[in-house]
Amino acid sequence: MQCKGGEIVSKEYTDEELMGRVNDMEEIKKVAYKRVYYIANEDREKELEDLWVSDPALQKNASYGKNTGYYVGMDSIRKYYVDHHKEVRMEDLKRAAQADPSIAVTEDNLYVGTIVNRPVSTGLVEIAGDGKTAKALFYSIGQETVPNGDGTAKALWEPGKVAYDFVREADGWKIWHVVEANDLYCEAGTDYSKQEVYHNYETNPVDIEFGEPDVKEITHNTDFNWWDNYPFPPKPYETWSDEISYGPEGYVRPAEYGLDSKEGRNWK
Amino acid sequence: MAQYTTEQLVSRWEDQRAIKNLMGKFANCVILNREEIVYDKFWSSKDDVCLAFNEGAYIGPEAVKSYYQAESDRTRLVGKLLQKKFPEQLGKLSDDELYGVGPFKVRPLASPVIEVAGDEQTAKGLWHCLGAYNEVGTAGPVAYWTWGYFAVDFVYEDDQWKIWHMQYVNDIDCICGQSWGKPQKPYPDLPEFAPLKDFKYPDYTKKVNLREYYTPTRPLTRTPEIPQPYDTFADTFTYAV
Repeated sequence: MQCKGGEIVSKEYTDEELMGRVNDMEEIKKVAYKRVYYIANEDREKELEDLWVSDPALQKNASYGKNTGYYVGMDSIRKYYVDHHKEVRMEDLKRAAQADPSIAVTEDNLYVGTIVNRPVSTGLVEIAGDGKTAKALFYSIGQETVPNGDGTAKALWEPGKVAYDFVREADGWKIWHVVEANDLYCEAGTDYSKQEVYHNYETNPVDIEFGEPDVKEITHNTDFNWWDNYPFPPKPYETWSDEISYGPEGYVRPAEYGLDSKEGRNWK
Repeated sequence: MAQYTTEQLVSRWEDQRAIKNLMGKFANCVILNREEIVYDKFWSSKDDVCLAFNEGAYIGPEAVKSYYQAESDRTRLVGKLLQKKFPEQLGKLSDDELYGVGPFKVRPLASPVIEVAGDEQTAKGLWHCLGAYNEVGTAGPVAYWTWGYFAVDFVYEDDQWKIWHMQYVNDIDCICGQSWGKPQKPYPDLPEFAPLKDFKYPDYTKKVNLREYYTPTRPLTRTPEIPQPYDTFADTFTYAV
């Protein structure tokens, strides 16, 4: 990568390098796509094993972020993403069993009545010039449906951006940082425009589920969706630096407007 | 992980591109209600082709063709009923011009996991499909949301990639504007669309509960299997039913 008059210009690659990068591009997208099916299958533990970084040094600052912050380090990610999620699903199961006592509240029945999909499209991928890392941004029109406890279920549309940092390990490309920035949630069959105008952090189901992350930060404020540009689209780059990370080290709070206006916020 | 030369990588990338394009063309044919050309254009000539849905599978060329023929016949019938209902707008159209009026089936394909065999003779692909369709049924035109998957085996024959086995299965098939977590409220039947009551798709070759639709009491239902790298088709699983 070269800088010419302040603009990044394309690096010259050999045919072999170019084809290698084309192949990398496909493999990187495939990791993000595989995750879609792992999520639908509730294979969260396996996802961390199969798709995320295994190098202990990288695991230390691996991160999983949403609108209100980040869990950092694989142990912390696992506690939230796997253990806490199972607890939430157990509560979902109890509600399903309330409506249908024939459903036993056991580990085997976890996920009864729930369905979650986070398909991704619109992939934007940049591989570092040195080929060691990559960044990607996708859009997901997702949904999550959980039992209400009366024989029905709450079906939520959950569209949002999904951003990834990837690292090349010996056995392929691995997830290092993820941000899932929810743009809105809306119960299927209801009118989004009838929701309260300002984001309510105390009642928003996505925020509630995310709990108390290690790094608390409103990274994506849905009151001002157009303003924070987070997660930002990746740009071509030569080599990794923390400033471009989708982990907390790469988050920069915008200098003006939005959060600092204090308008419509009830964040404490 | 298999190591490939640059030439092999180029060839394998072209395989992937062709497979994605094949599915893109297929999805566009469905949008255009051109099911009558789908089999000849996109399907393999093998005897064990298989097209499966949630409740069953059409197995073998004649069975798969009969499904597409039925879909085409239904589109023709719907056009006729709509022509009767809207004589001012549609009355002057010939049968050919009328064909395709009414149904609108969108199957956007996302999140592809494609594995081309080491020998490049077969391939497997899995897509998520957040779809929508407008069906003209006994209640007239009704729009639906769908959430589901396309899981496909491909075979390379006559210098082209072709569909060999296809599963199109949904978790959710819900009237637009309603919640898939609650009982559906169907629209009342309209007498002008009553002839559709008698329309039947061909019986499945094999009736099988391939995928149960979502309900608030459904157990976890796994997606079709994710393709894994493989050398020859004998080394992997099949999406045939």
